Amino acid sequence: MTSMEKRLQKELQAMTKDPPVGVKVNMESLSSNLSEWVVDIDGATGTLYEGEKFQLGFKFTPRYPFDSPQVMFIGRNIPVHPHIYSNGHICLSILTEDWSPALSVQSVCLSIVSMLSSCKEKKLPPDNAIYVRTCSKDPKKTRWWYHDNSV
Amino acid sequence: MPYEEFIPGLVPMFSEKSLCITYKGFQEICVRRSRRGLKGKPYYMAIHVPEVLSKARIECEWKLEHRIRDKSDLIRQRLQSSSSLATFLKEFILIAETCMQHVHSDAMWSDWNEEIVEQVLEIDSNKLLSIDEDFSAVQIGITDEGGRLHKIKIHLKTQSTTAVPVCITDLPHKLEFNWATNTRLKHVVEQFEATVLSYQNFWNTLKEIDEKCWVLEPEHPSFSATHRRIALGQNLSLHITVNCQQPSTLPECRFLGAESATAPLREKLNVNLLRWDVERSLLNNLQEVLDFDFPSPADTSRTELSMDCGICYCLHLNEEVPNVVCEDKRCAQAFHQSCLYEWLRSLSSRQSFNTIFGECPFCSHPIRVKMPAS
Repeated sequence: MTSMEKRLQKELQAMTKDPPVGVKVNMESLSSNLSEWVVDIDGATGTLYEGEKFQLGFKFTPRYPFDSPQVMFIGRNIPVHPHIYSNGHICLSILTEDWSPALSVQSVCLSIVSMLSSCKEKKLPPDNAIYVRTCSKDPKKTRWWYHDNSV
Repeated sequence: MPYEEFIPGLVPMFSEKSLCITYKGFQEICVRRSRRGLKGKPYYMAIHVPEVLSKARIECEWKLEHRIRDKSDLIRQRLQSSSSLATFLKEFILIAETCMQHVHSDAMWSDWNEEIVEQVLEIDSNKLLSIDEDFSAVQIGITDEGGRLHKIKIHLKTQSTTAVPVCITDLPHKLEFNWATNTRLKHVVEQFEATVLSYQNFWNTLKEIDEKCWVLEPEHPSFSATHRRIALGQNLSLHITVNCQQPSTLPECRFLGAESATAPLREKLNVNLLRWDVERSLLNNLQEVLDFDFPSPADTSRTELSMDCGICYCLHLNEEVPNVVCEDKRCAQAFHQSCLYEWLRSLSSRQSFNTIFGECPFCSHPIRVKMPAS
């Protein structure tokens, strides 16, 4: 087993044994070497996304955890949020330049849940139209411009 | 029933239950031609003859059996065509003699092999684990008082029983044994056994530690390993190197953890050193001198003593255990040197000679790490 597989194995164990509220690993989605995961996310109660269900797709390179995972919303329901583009790409600094091996699948999921929860108004990012037409398929290739830190 | 009254060298024996007759005895077989003519040697054999001669079964001692094995088809054929046991026996001896002389002419089976077999047979068969097919190595196992199996592999120099054999053992020190030209394998085994017995205290001492403490390293201790890394608490451990001759004396101690946690322990070790009592076991002494009860598998779970690397989430990475610790005592996260180095390097952190400087990935406290050796 490679060191990436070993670490992901331990993360998976911890997340299935003691899952955080509203976050659930979709066990059927796991590839045999654990390099791809789908995580089911529930919109938290008392927020704009209450009752909605989303799916996050994780892709890990063999250099994980030195390299950040590629994380984006997938499936039919993409949350409408100022930092989430309609193609599922997420503008979140810990997914690129602020990544640290101290972070994990669980902490990334919790960051995204809290990003959704703190949203005051459901609207698309201002540059959504142009971004979706011009961006790379891999959100990690985007040079993000972090507009603000309020949500 | 083809009973033949007189076969030179063999005595007929009748079985009460069956009609089978067994002829037992010795037959002289010419081994080689020397200057003084043919040199013969008697070999034991037994021929079981049931109702008909063609169904006879031949048993002989292993030295002979080994050499005629290839000719078993020929021997069977002669058995079918022989009219009497006496004529068959003559044929058989002729075949055996050609086999013997043929084998002697090439080096496949020599006096040396024979000598090794003789020497191996002198060793208690319970202790013999294996012999290599070409007789180049013999493996012996000895079980000690504590039920531990100790193995020695003796590599023999081909074609010489007088050369010093190379012995591979799992002992804290290299096996020292006296060797003279007339030393036999059994003497080497005796000396190995004596050495194993002399280490009983050492192994018993380490056994106590292995059973009563959380030993992080080595993962699977071998009998030769004199060191142990014992978990003392979260991200805090003690590395000891035990004196294998006098295991109850003070071992070499190194603490691993945040400075704030290891400093008081080092201090205690210095102050209480006089209370070390060689009559007590090593573990008791350590707990007494450090004034600290070591967490044991009986009262603590492995997860409470998390010593796993904060980057790869494992304890063992190849041969490495986490040996760099964040100096912030609230964090005290441990890392493998190579994991932390890899991470800081990927950030293109400041590097000076072989040390790289950066921040702890968990708490951002300044941290530094030396370049791994490899």
